[in-house]
Amino acid sequence: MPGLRVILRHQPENKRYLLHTLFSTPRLRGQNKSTNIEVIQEKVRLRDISLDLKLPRSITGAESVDAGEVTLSTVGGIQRLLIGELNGHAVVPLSYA
Amino acid sequence: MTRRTLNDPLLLRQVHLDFHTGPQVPDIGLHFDEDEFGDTLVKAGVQSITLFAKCHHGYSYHPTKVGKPHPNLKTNLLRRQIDACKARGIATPIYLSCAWDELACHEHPEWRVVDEHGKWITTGGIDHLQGPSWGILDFGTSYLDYLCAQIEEVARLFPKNDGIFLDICHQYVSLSSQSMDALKAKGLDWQNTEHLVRHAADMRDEFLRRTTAAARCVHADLPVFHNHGHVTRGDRRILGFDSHLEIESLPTGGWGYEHFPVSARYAETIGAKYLGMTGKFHTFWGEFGTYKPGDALEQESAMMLAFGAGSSVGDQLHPSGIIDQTTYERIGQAFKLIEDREAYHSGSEGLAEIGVLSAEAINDPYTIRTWPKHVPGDEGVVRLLLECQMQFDVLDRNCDLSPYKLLILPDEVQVDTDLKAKLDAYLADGGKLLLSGKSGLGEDGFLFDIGAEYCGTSPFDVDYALLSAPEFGDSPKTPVCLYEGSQRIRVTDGTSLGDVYEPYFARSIKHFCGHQHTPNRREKSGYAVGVSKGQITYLAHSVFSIYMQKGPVVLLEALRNLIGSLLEEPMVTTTHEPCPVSG
Repeated sequence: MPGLRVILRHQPENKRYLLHTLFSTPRLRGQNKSTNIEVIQEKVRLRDISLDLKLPRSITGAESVDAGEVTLSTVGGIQRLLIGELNGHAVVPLSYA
Repeated sequence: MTRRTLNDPLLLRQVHLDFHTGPQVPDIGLHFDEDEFGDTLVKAGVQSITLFAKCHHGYSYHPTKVGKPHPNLKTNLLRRQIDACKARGIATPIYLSCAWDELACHEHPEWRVVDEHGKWITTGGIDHLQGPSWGILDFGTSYLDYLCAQIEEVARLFPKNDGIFLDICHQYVSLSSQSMDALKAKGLDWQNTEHLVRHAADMRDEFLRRTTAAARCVHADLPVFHNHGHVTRGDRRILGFDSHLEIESLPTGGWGYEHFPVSARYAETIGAKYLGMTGKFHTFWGEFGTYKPGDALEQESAMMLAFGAGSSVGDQLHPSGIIDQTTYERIGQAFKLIEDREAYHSGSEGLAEIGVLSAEAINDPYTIRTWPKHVPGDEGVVRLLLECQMQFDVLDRNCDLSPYKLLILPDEVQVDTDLKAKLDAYLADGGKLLLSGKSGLGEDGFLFDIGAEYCGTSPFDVDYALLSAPEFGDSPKTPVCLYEGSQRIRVTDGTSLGDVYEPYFARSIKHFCGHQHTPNRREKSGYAVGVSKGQITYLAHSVFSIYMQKGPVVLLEALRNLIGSLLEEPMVTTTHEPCPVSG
């Protein structure tokens, strides 16, 4: 899904990664100085975003900041994160030992 | 409230309050009300607001012995704005316009930039060639003395200010009388374009030095930023003059949605403190009574947070001084999100698996640029990586390359001897390179052993790529149009990524076929769409520029698969498409 952004940051002092997710659908709304004006006009709620993670450190826990129910599991040796819901922007703090 | 210093972290919720007010407008600041202004900002969660000492029209909004107050200024507006904010704990950096100053242009036409044809130039405005737009001043004239005196006056009048924001920091090539005298004194030739550019670069350096010193005449630790609408990648000298970067990038105002991520990933990589800057306008600065939806401001601010930046939202105050309630309801929505998530900002740093060597940074770091600067290869690769949920940094030649599994050199990166040595060391340490288009090409062919022979640029305006290598995943089994002629390569000891099919002839006024493209010949050309050898993969088209400018979805999927295979284990992989739900 090209509109889905997943951006990772690291908070070493908190021993966690921050997985930011964003989703929006800019709409074409005319032009200004020959460039398109694309305005984010509505929120579209997504559910069940499933991500396989291969981060520098193994994740021990996942929290939800407006991400609905968040589930961490291991599938075939790979850590899989299920994000229950995304309505614009959510953060999933991923802690490591 | 104590003043902020360059050692403080940047505040995350800021407003940039434009106030460019023409001399014909009456009753400036007449209806300003401290409580209405300050309480509105507090309610919206604003922590800092950049306020105007001098606007593009050249007028000041405070008593001045150097410049001139706006002719219809009815109150000491800047003082009252600052007092209202400080009483509420809101920081107040102060704005002065630099290369745009209509009053100075009018009173001192000898300070204006004169182009090679002996004419004044103007920039900005809705249509700068036909409509009203701003005259440009030459920092190589006595204007710089006047400007620095204005900055110093502001620093002394408002010693508790929280920073100086200097705008329109462009120095154009100029043949003003003073610049011509200076050129002659330096033994330079005013008819030589290179000499003119060199002198303009010297004048810009002088401008940066002197304005920074003027801003810090009272406090040596005062935050200072010089804006020119774009963070030019590759020129790290700015870090000596700017305490932080404010990435002006209004997605609906010509910058688009890729300009900010490219700039932010670069700003963080070079160790700068940085803010994002969007606008509350439907399109661009200078609109009254237009409103971007609150959801948009919220999402744009969230994007800034995700890239490690605070949010600055641009607004323009009505000349009467009355703050616009609709605007601050919407800004408040965005700032609520930032406030709620501030704990997920402090002390955070980017995480990346891919390094993008910026073509702008490598090829052309010192060209004087104005907004909004687009380098299609740089923005195309970033758009693609964002859409593929891949993690990247944007790099210049001074960056440490060792953290990255993969380096991408998009489309036109000119590799000189120094960069070649750095990339060779990176390869020797086991890194991987992805080159496209003209990246890595020297005068005598490829600078790297890519496993193919270089046969020149295709003479055709278009050709077709059969993306048959398994690394491209489930791509079409037929040749796809890539909208340009590729670099011709014949594979030697590398592995071909597929065949190029060339058209019957180049489209021209003499012979053409159909609306757009001459169709492909049935037989292969003998040239390859790409090649891989060891740690190096090369693609013969400017795939990232093509993706930015034409956006073929086929290319998105093929490059997602190729880059994924080069990473082997991407940090993030989506396992299936998420479901949109209503409500």
